[in-house]
Amino acid sequence: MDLNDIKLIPLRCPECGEAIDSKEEDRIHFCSVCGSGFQVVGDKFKKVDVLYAKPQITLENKIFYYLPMWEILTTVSLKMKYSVNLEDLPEEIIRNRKFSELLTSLFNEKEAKKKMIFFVPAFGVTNRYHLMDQPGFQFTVNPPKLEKDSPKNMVGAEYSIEDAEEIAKVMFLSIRAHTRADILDANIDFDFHRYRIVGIPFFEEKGMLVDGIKGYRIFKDALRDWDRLKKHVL
Amino acid sequence: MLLVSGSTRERRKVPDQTVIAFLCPNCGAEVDVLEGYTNIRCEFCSSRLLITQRIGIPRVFARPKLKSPKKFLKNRIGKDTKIVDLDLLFIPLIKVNAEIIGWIKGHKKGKLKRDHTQEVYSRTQPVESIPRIEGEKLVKKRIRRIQELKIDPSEFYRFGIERVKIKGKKFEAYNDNLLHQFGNVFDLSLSIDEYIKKTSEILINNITREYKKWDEFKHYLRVIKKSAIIYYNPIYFARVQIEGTPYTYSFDAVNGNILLREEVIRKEGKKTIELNLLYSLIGCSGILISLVSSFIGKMPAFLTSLFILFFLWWSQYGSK
Repeated sequence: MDLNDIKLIPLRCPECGEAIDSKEEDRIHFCSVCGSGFQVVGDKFKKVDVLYAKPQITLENKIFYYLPMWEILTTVSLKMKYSVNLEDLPEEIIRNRKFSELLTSLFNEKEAKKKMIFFVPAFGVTNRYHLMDQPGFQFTVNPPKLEKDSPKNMVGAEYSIEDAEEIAKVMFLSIRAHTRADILDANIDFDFHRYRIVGIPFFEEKGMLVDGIKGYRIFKDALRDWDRLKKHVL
Repeated sequence: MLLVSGSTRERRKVPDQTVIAFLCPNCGAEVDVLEGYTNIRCEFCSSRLLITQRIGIPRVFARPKLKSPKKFLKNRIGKDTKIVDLDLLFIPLIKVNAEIIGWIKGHKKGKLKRDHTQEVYSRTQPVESIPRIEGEKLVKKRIRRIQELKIDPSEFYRFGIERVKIKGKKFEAYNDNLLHQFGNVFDLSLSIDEYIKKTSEILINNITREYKKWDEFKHYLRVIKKSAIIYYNPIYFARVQIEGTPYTYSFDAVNGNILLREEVIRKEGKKTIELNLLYSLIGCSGILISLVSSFIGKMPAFLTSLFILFFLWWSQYGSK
């Protein structure tokens, strides 16, 4: 057989050997027993740090579904100076004083460098995702304090870390799009330091999915194939 | 990345999807994988299976199914056809799926419109045509699209690969030895990375060209979630003669679809020069004989010269 040949191997956790369930399009796989996660590169397993976040909203008789999100610690640097004042910022950003100060100092200082934590959905989303609260965007603006929970069933990580980096850059442009018309022009450098997958608990409510950390909402059809994903998670 | 469905029921639902057949390493049952998946559950032993490849991108091939290609071709194009030669070639086709995300910005041009009526005191009255520009604005727009693209690495050769249908066919993991037992394999002229890069450029261009009429158009578009597969399709390539005229034919070795039919146009470069020289000599001798015959007045020589001139005309135009 040729070096390039593809083959099937049993999907088992490289850490504990337990069988793993995954959705057919997933690129990151999670072990529900030991909680470890890994990305498959060629025929090698590359370990990914995973944290299962404890719900901070207490609800009785609610089932929590864990959806994966990339958490990326990044240094953002701008070479040029752009004058952005607090009053230029939209309400949803200005509500968070710390983040709005970070943004204004990033744009107003010459050769500014600031640390940010991007939260990028690793699950597949549709264009409907942008119509509601966008938990990834909200967590980036206001990073939540996450508490560790025991390993859970988690599937649906369709985006690799390389994809997540590109999504993070586009997310930053989205933040800029709120503040300035001249998006796409700035020379921005992104230095991505640390990555991990965070399992965010969601519950169903009135036809929507609500996150169990801060209560941000998304439409069910903002997720690619929620019904199939739900079957795997249950 | 490839993927699988595994379930017969699912396969019936989506009969036109490309299927890649594997054997389950657990129970040995045949597992059918659908394009785009990275893992699959074996419907017989219920184990979840991961699709891996050591390097590069997955390569798959389809087995030729036509048992008697010569007979098949004669039945299709005529029993009197003379098949000069017939070769089986595996031609690669790269299929890429990707998501394009990012932002575009530009000044959308307005459309010139004319009002022919006007509201006056709640009544519509005809007025003289008034031109106005409608819809002109500065636009910032988020882009998120999933696209599929096929790349033909043999684009400079005429095999008719663009007419090959890969949906609905069953493919297997690439096996170099097996492919060479069947026939020849067309090599990729670029590296896979170069093809992927080329594909990303095409995918971005597909979006930006929609906005080519916008002023000051700028974009920040990135291609993510790229997955690619190389499909090696078996194609018969034949040189035939139909009533003395040479043709080339290519047809799908799986389902027999005719992909290409072309008349071979002979390249007559050198030969033409030689023939022109010959015709010139004959022409000159004809003129010379006519002059001599008119001078001497002998009828046979005159007739000979007429015959030579007729031959000259016929060889240039009569045969066409």
